[in-house]
Amino acid sequence: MTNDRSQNVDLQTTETGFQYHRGSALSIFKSDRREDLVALVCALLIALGVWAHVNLGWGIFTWLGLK
Amino acid sequence: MIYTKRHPAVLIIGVILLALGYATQAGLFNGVVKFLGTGRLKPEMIHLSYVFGAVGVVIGLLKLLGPLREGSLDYYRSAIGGALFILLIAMLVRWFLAPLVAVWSRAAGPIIGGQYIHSVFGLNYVVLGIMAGLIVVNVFGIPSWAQNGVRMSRLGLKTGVILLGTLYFLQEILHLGVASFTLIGIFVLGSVGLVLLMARMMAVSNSMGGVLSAGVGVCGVSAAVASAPVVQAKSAEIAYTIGTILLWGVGCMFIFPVIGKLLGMSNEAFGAWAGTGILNSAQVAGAALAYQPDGIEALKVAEIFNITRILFLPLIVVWLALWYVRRETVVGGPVPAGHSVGAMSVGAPKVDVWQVIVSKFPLFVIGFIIMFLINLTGVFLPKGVTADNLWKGKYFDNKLKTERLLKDKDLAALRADLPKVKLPAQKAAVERLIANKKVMSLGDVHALDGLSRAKVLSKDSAKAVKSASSAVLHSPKIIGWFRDWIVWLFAFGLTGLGMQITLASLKQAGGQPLVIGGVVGTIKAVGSLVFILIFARMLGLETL
Repeated sequence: MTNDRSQNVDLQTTETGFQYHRGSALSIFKSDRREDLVALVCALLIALGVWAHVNLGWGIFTWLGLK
Repeated sequence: MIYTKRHPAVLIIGVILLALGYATQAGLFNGVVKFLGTGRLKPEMIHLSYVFGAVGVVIGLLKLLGPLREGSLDYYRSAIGGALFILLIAMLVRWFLAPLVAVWSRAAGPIIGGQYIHSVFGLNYVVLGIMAGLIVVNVFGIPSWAQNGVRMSRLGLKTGVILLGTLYFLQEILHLGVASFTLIGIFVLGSVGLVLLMARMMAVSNSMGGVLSAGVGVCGVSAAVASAPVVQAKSAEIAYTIGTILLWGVGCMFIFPVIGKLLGMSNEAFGAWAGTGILNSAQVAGAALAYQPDGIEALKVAEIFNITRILFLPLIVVWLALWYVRRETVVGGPVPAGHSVGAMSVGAPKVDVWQVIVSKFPLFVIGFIIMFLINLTGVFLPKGVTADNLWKGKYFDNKLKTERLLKDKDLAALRADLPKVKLPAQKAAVERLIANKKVMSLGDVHALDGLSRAKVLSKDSAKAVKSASSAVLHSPKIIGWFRDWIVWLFAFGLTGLGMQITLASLKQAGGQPLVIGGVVGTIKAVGSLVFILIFARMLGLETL
């Protein structure tokens, strides 16, 4: 089995008879590596947002006057 | 192909969430909130409902009225409906269903050792969220407009694990590192070896045995996928392995917390057990959060064990490559000339082991380490606080208001117990505590913690020491925010995970792989539990 083929295991394809043109049954991303990268970017953005909120007072609710 | 469906569901979810946020803010739910005892959740009920309600309305309108063109925008936009669907279920479970179950459980009275049904069986928002997902997918089916987005749940889990890196400090990593490497080293290598041995005894194919050993020994699905190329596993064999891991992992996720509760394990000890004994990363997080839904100590320990386990992946891939070459040489005749571990060639396709390791090693582990390194710089700590001034993620500050000082009855209990304290450092810390009515330094916090764990104090004194220590230890505000984010990312990911566990996918496990996985999984779970119960104190984990 090649590296690429090993990524294409899709347990649910046989149940639904439908396969997305990218991703697998477990992920919307083309590969695990891309999903990991997106997760890293999301985590960094959240960390930056939380830091800015706590230290600089930035935030949606502050702007909207709800907090 | 166009994935976005012109369906009003996302818009309706958005309106429901906005209404929920407004009703909570206007106090229309005050009676319900009081009955369920969820007053502390009100801020998140308002804020999350408004934010995701607005997202739902905007995306819902775009879906209904916007142009539909094939491409990435269509693909990713179609995923938002499913993500909101998961989130709505997670919100309803966390804010209403789980507290309602707790109210019913308390009304029914205690069952074992003064504990209630929901506590013993871990019927909290994590477990109920996964069960809700399981019921949705297996009874009703995922609506077509949500199917694409349900596949985003793993992204939530991975983001949560990476963000978890912000909550560790060097002392904790060093402290847990020895314990985790010891425990994981024994059980990862032991279970890989045992699966390979059983596979040989049961005459299972080398490729099946190899892929199953990585799945059962290391970290579940990703290890199975990473090891597949080096043992030239077929798709069906990977599917069997994933089915076995999934079936076993789902069982563990529900059973581990019940056993932990019955044994009265500490959060740290349970986290170590879950991180060692449960096969798949997602279920490790699920069990740890199910065990301690209102805190993340168990999750933190479980994840550091889980990540240590993933760090063993390159070693296991190399081991399997060597094992496979040797087995195929013995069974299938001589290996073609020129093979090596770096470039293994057995049969037709040539596989580069190092390339497999580099391309398949889970990057989110590197993300966790990056976040941990950022945290080490002290950027997330309040001004004037350094990592040296921390104790279990909290910083020391003993400027206290009078009402937080120890009371006369606490001081009397401590004075009465003072002769029982033998160690000079602990005795001096108690004397300073009595003289000042508060803890005077972080060193005293350490000494008093050791004294509490030694269990030599009376109940009243132990309570006074605990109260005095917690009065001078403060969580940085930013850490509280990170905790909230992590809890929600895991709640989202685990509810979505439930929606991916179909009965048909569990049936993928079958025959010999299930027998081998079940036997080795049980040995691993029981063995790691016994090991932790015996050696927890030696490994620096608080035990029973």
